[in-house]
Order: sequence, then C-alpha cells, then structure tokens
Amino acid sequence: MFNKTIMEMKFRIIIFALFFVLMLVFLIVTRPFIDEMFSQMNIGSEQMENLPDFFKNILAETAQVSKMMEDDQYFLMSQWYSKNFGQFLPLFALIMTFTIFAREVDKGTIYFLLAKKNRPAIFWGKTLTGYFVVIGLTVIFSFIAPIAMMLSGYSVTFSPQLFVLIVQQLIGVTFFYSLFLLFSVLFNDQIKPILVGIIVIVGLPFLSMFESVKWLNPYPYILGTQVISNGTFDGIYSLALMVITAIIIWTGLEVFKRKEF
Amino acid sequence: MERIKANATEKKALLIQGLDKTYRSGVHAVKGVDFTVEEGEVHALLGPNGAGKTTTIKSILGFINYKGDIKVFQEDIDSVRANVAFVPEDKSFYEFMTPEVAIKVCKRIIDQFDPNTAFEFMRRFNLPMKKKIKGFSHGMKTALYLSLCLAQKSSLYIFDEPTWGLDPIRRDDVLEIIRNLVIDGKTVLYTSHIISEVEKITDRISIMFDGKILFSGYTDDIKANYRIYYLPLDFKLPQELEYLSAKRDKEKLIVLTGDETAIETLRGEADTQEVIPNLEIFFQTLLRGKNYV
Repeated sequence: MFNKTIMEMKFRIIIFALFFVLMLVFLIVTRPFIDEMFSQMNIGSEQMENLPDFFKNILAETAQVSKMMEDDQYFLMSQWYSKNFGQFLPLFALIMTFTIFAREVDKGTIYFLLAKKNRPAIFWGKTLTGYFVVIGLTVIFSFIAPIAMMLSGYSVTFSPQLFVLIVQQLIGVTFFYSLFLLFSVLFNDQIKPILVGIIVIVGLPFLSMFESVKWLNPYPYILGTQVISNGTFDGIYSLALMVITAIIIWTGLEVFKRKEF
Repeated sequence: MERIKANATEKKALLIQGLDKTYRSGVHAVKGVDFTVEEGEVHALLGPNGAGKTTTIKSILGFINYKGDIKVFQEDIDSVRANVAFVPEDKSFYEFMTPEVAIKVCKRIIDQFDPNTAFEFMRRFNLPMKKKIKGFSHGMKTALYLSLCLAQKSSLYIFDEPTWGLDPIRRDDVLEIIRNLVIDGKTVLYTSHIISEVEKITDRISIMFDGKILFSGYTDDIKANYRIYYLPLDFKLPQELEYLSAKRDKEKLIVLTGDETAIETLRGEADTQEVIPNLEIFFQTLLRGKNYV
C-alpha cells in the first residue's frame, strides 16, 4: 500500500519539492535587496513633519519593520515560515491529499483494494502514507531553510522560537491534511474534493473579518503571527487543532468503513 | 458437462440468506435472495442486465450495505478476505503501472500472491510486460486483471464477466483455466452474459431476474429433468400442475416444466412438440415466459 500510494504521488512530490527549492533560492538571493528596499523607504525627520498623521503611522511601522528586517533570524521567520512557504502549506496539503481516496473511486481501482484488504487497513495504509509524504516534505523544507541561510553566510540559529514556529506549522498542516483527506473520502470524483478544498483555503481568511468567528481562521496560527511578535507558543489553539484533527480523521475512517462502492 | 461427484461436498463456500438491497436512489436491486455455492463447484450467476447479479456480488464482498445474511466459508467476509480472489466487472487497474510493476505491487499488497504464476499467465495472454496499462485494450486489461487474480492463492474465486473483451482464443483459455481451478479443489462463482460459455464450465447455475432467483440447480439436471412444450395457442393449461414458465407467442403456447406429472400430462397431448432444452434455450424460455406463469 505504501509503495503504491507513493508511486501515485511521485509526480506531485517532485513538482512541490522543486517549487519549494526554487522559492527558497529566490528568497536567499533576494535577501540583500529586501534590506535595501526597506532602507529606501525611510525618510528624514524634516520631511516626516509635513506629512499627514496616518501616513506618519504607516512610515513609522515601515521603519520598525525595516529595522527588524536587518535581523536575519526575523527575516527567515517572517519571509519563509510566515509568508512564502507557510502560505503555500494548505495548498500543498490539498494537492497531495485530494486524490488519495477520490481517484481510486473515480477510476474504479478501489475494487482491487476492497477485495484484498479490510477497510480499516486500506484507510490507515493510505492515510498514513499520504501523511508521511506531506509531513515529511514540510519537515524537510522547514529545516532546510535555516540551514541554507546559514550556508549562505547569514546569522541564523535554530532558536526555541523557530522550533515553536515549526511545531505550529506541523500541527496546522496536519489539520489541513485531515480536512482534505475527509473530502477525498466523502466524494466519488476528483473534482469536488479539490473544488471544496480551494473554497476552504480561499474562504478561511475571510472569517478574520468577523470578530466573533475570527478564531476559526487557522492561518495566523500556522503562519506563526503570535510566535514572531511575542515569541510564545499558542498551547490552547494547538490542543484544539489536534483534537479537531483527531475527530476529522475518526470521521473519515467511519465514513470510509460504511461507504458503498 | 458431467458433474464430478467427488467434488460435490456438503460444505458451503458461500451461503446467502434473505439478501435484500435497496439503493439510496430507491432502486430495489435484490429482493430476498437465497442461494448457496458448494465447495469445489463452478456456480454461474446468470441473468439479463439489471437482474441484480453485480449487486449480489458486491454484497458478498462487502462493497455495499445490505439486509440479510452472507457467510463465506462459514465466516463474515472480512475474516476470510485473504482467501477470496475477485475480478470485477470493471477491470480498471492502475494505468500508470506496467504489468511488471503491477506484479511487484500485488506481491506487497496481496497475501499469498505468487509472482511467478502472474508472470506465467501474462506470458500466456501475450501481455507486453513493459508497456503502461494506460495503452492496453479492454481485452488486455481483462487478461491482466485475470492474471493478477489467478496468481492469488485462494479457495474462492469470484469472477464478474471474466471474458468481457477477450478474443475467442483467449476466452477459451480463460474457461479452461477456470475449469482447472475446480479440478484443483477451488470454488468459483461466476457471472456472464454468454450462456454458451457458461454451459461449458459450470456445475450449477442460479438465474436471476428483477432481483430474484428464478431458478437454481445443476446444469446436468436441466437436460435430464426439464422439458419445453410447444402447444396449440388455445390449449388450456391444467392449473393444478407446476410450470417454471409459460408464454403465448403468435403461434404457440410455450411451456417450461420440470414437474414429472406435468411432463407426463403434456407429453400425451395432441399437437405437442417436446424439446429437451440446452442451457441457452432453458434460460431464454424461463425469462421470456416468467410473466405468464
């Protein structure tokens, strides 16, 4: 089951690995220019006095960010984990996951598996293999980025703050993996799981617009907004996501055990 | 085909009681079906499209939920799944694989899978071992699926339309292989639309129509015990006798019966033509006349 599932995912694994490598190379290559860009946005105090208040606030914030961007560690966390790599993680999880069950049903190959193995064995075999791939690539590119920065001569360390950020991303990507896996179990074709997955990815940030439900949007958690600004681990949110993930996976198993083919 | 008495043990490979299945769409596909498959026999499940054959097979293998009781070797299917090999109606396999890769994958997934047997069957079917399955014809896909299924060392083989898409030579090969399985002590449950091929290899048949079993019995007994009578159109059938089917066409009243008294009675009538049915005629007469009994 493991090898077969890996073979099915091989092309997508290569594409995403190449994409992440290119993104990392681009980030490191453009590092000096980012510094320069922010420094050019700083203006003198005489010019500042003639500007309206709201613009002064923006520039003050920019100046603050510019100062922080001089720190390689901050640059790495904000630009790799919190932006480029971090932002692609839900999409990465979706593309790797949506076919796991839906393609077997869509193509009619599920009968081959159902005839040979009991349903829990099929579910766990495919689920764990897919998770191994998703979490494996996430871990690899979480750790490669600081190493690549170090090798490029930047002063980056594996600080506790960085580890906390990586742990939150792994919990976050596990949550998205379980959700998209459930879609793959629920639907009998490959279009619906990817379509619903994209709606979820695009729709979740809109929840932040409403104060009462903005906690439902896991992006600030996955992108480590609180970790970067305060250096603290969001324990309650982590626990909640892990519990929800476990419930979703259990639901997926129960649906798969009862589903008609 | 002569029945091999030595193989006809009392042990049941498959026992189905009160199988009933209604799909969510409201289609009542199987309506309280009972039948058994004895160990060491080829049992053919026959019927027109929509009779409920595939639904019955899906129920046996646990692919769908159903009402009723199904035991495979006296156990639930999940307890004996490793001992059951299956070729579905839809012979879709992983198209990105070559037959060589498929064998390696099956070796990892299937318990008691013999790669050498799979290679032998694929060679026999002249399958290109390094060509991706995506480029295979229907017949080649069927041959591939059969090769992989036959390489699984099982006690019960379930084939849903196993010769679909095969050329006549390969079809005969497959029928011979299926027959040999029984000689080796295996049990086969088999569905097909091609009655002539069924007659060549089956010990027993069950004929389904509209979700019910209309007839279940040994193929040898059909010729021995059943008769078809072509009677004048205005002939009045005695109501106290038993008939399997009766139909009035444009010129004749056609009656199928296995009841000895009915046979004696109809044989003595004037203008009666008696026919000893082969399986094809038996099947057609049974289905065409069932509404008029």
